[in-house]
Amino acid sequence: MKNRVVITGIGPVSALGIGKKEFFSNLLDLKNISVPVKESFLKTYKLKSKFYVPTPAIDYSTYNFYSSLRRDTPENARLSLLAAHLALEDANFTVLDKNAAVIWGTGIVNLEVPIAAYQANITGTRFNRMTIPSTMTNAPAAWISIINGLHGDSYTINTACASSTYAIGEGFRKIRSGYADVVITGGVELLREDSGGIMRGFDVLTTLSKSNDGNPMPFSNARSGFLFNEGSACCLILENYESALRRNAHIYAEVSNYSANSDANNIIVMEPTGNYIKLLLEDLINSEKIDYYNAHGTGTILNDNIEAKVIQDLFGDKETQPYINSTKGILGHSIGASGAIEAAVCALSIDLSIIHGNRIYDPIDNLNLPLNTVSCEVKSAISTSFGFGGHNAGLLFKKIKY
Amino acid sequence: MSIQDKIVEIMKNIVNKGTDFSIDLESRLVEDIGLDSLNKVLLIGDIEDEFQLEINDSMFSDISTVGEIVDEISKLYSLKDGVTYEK
Repeated sequence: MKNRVVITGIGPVSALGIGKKEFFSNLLDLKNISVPVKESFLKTYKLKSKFYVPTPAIDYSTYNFYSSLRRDTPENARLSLLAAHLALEDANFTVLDKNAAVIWGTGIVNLEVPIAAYQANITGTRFNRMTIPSTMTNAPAAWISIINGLHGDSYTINTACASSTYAIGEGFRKIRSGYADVVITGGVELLREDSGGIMRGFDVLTTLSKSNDGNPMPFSNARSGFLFNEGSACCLILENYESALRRNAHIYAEVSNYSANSDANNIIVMEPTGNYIKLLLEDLINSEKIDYYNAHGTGTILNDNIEAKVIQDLFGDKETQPYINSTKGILGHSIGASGAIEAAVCALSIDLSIIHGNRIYDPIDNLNLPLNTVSCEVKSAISTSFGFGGHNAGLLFKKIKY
Repeated sequence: MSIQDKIVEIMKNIVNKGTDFSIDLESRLVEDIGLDSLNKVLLIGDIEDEFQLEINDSMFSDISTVGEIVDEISKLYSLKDGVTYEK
């Protein structure tokens, strides 16, 4: 059985905006959302990276699921619940299939809970009794099922920066093979921590941008690493194409292919020839014409070098390449949530015939990188994600007439 | 809202019973309300949050009715800073 799979709802939650309208509008405007690191981040270590993107401050009490939350529902679950709420609202089901599956992606758990528990335990202050249920990695997926009364299978996928791309890919496979008609998918990352220890963890690996203005500039020769985004979530509703048609749903795009493989090289360093990424893309694209390539584009020297080379090998010179951009250049790198955010960007770009620009100067030579936002028909788009540990994934989206 | 009313409200939220399920001072935690060990953990946590108290787990080992909880919490709360609970 090979059902077709479409995207019928989108719910981003990030410092760039809450909900698709605000989020995409600010993205198209290439809005700068980075802020200087907090004083409290600099107590014992001088961060080389001077800017980051904070978790959006949200008043959850304005949303109808708020009354079902416990006081101790962890923030990564709240972000996820809001993303799912926005996506479900967007998908506009009259009746949501209670057997919908939930496949969620996250890179690292929300560390602020176990860190606070450790502090309470050694200082003798009040210990959060819900430490374990609030730390466990499955919490966001479980909360989505609980709040929405969903009885389909519900689980979490973890492949570092590729986590939510993998989650969407598995959701795609599930519907394609007939195991579900609706999958609520996407991802979250919440690495907020007052002393800046988590950001330090990325900083000491020399992966973070050292720019003087918080602009990471992926694919620029002046780049030096990624912009750390400490908290975001994004949800996409995947649906069986036939059911979407039957209920007259708005369809953003079709998810028409998914491919994933592993570099098997190093726990943080990408395989330098980009060979496995190239194989993945060849498998994903299968000779189709691609209008838009939303890159993994973190802004690290290594990633962008390898990705640029693979793009040139596959697509030829600038003139024959698809439009290329990196959403991380505007939003920063939201780790486990980035795949879902970038998939949402592809779907919105296809639906609205517009591709966001790249806020950079001195671009790498021979790459089709529009500096300004471009209005044009987008019939096909690709999003790629490459995670620490060598986890590679890619999704192919197509415009669909319905 | 009095301490008693608040505790009853917290209890109802935890055991997930509807508004018509009646809980009074005589209600027994296990036999009448059906409080199990995990619910007890949630109850203690929510009471701690609501009344800004730190509760020793062993306090609950001798308690078997709602009335006994209300008495104990009222005592602990008044020891805090002499304020009365009013929400």
